[in-house]
Amino acid sequence: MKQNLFKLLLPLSALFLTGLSGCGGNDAPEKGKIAVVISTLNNPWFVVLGESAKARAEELGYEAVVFDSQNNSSKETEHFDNIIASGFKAILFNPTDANGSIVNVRAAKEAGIPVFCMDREINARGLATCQILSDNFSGCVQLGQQFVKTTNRKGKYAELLGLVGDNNTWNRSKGFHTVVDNYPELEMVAQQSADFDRNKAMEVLESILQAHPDISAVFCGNDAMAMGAYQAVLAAGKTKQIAVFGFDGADDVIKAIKEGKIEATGMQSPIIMAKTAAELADRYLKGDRDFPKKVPIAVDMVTIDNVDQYLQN
Amino acid sequence: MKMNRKKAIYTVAGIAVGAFCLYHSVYITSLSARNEELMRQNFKPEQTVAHFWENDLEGLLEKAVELRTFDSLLVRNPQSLAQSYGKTLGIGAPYSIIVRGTGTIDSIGNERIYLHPVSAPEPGGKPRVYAIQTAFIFSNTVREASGAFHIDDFENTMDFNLISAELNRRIVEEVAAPMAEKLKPGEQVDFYGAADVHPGKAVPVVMDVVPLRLTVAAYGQQ
Repeated sequence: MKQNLFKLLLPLSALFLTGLSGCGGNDAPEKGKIAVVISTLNNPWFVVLGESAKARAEELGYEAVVFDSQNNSSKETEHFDNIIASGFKAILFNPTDANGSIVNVRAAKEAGIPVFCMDREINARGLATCQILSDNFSGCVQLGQQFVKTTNRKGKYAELLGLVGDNNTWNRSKGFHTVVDNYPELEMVAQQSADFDRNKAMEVLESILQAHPDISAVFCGNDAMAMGAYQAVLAAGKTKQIAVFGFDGADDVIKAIKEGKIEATGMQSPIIMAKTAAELADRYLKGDRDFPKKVPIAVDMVTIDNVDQYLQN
Repeated sequence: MKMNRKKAIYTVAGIAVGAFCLYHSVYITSLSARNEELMRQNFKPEQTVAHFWENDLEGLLEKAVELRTFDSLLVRNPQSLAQSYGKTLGIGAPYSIIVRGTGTIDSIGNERIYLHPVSAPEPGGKPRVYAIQTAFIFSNTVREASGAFHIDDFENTMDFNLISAELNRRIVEEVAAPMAEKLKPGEQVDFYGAADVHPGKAVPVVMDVVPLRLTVAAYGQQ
């Protein structure tokens, strides 16, 4: 009898508790948790990406948690293991490596968790639910055209590449070279990786300048490296001789363009990418499956001619 | 003495063999060249573009919007022009449109053929000029306007970008450059091409057209 009463009360109490939780006004626990996994929070651009994704996911009623992979694929795998075990509903993901991160996305997919890549892609089709990416190639085509104009189509130059395992590194470099390689009097005397890192870029360019003191420009695969490169140029007393180009649209580089220190950058939109990823995740969790696998976001070039419209108040 | 000489000969021979082996075991190339080579091993944009060029281009040209319609909508209602005739990719990119028309050559520059304006300028404004690009074509205009290539069909965005690079190379080599050498100011040119429209931005004074077909009455051939 007691057992029968217990059996009757159990579902009733569960119903009562469910009802109570619905009266809380905050529906976050009901909607669930979204993980925001970022390649590194050691770069202000990625901080904006992560924070914007978190903010939009929270606006949409989810609890959002940011994970920092510290540019380390093993760390990223640990995060994915935790995320899968902790019952997250979706992952807004900025991969560390186009190939190395595939295994993590596959694990999430097998666990039934949709993954929305932001800014960086993985080299696999059918695993990520959607990849929201900057159109790096076209952005760097524009920068290449500006580069040709600034250098007057001739002279020696250096290129600082980002992480060798990241597709963005090569999309940017390829876009740039698609233009610049058409001009035979422009000679690339050095091409080295500085891992998208400001300090490394400074060190790399310092050593390049020792071997090639006569370069007239340096093209950097991101703004952090552009700032590092500018420091090396400044230390060498060659700010009038060497034009520095970046990519990202980071605040400090926009200010540097206004001050005449950096020549140009490509304005990516981390906020648009992050918001789009969070909104697509929300649509997916509500049952919508009708959206493209890849969504490129256009990149605008910023130079002294239009920098005022990008300066933050 | 003899032993020392023999030793020296062996040493020199050893160094020579070692240097030969080392020279042929290490191959230095730039990072970008290596990466491009690896990508090209997997994907052949030439084949994909050749298929489009030989099978789909003709049908695409039949859908071109006439230049006067294009020009009129560009000024009066660029949003409608983009929505009705344009194709775009992702968020924030221009709309790319296939256009056809006839114009009289005003001047010929290193990278463009400038045509006489097709319409009177707005009051107080400059006349709008259509410029056919003949060299250094880098945009995605034709890839997007064609509607023949979809980003989701490609393994990664680099492969997708290589399509644009190959289309542009083919256009310069097979369409633009051969004609640019023959043309003169004052001649009339019939063209099919692709142009970008940014509905949110001011209408440019010089409107670039990436040529897909150029015909001059005097020559009667492409």
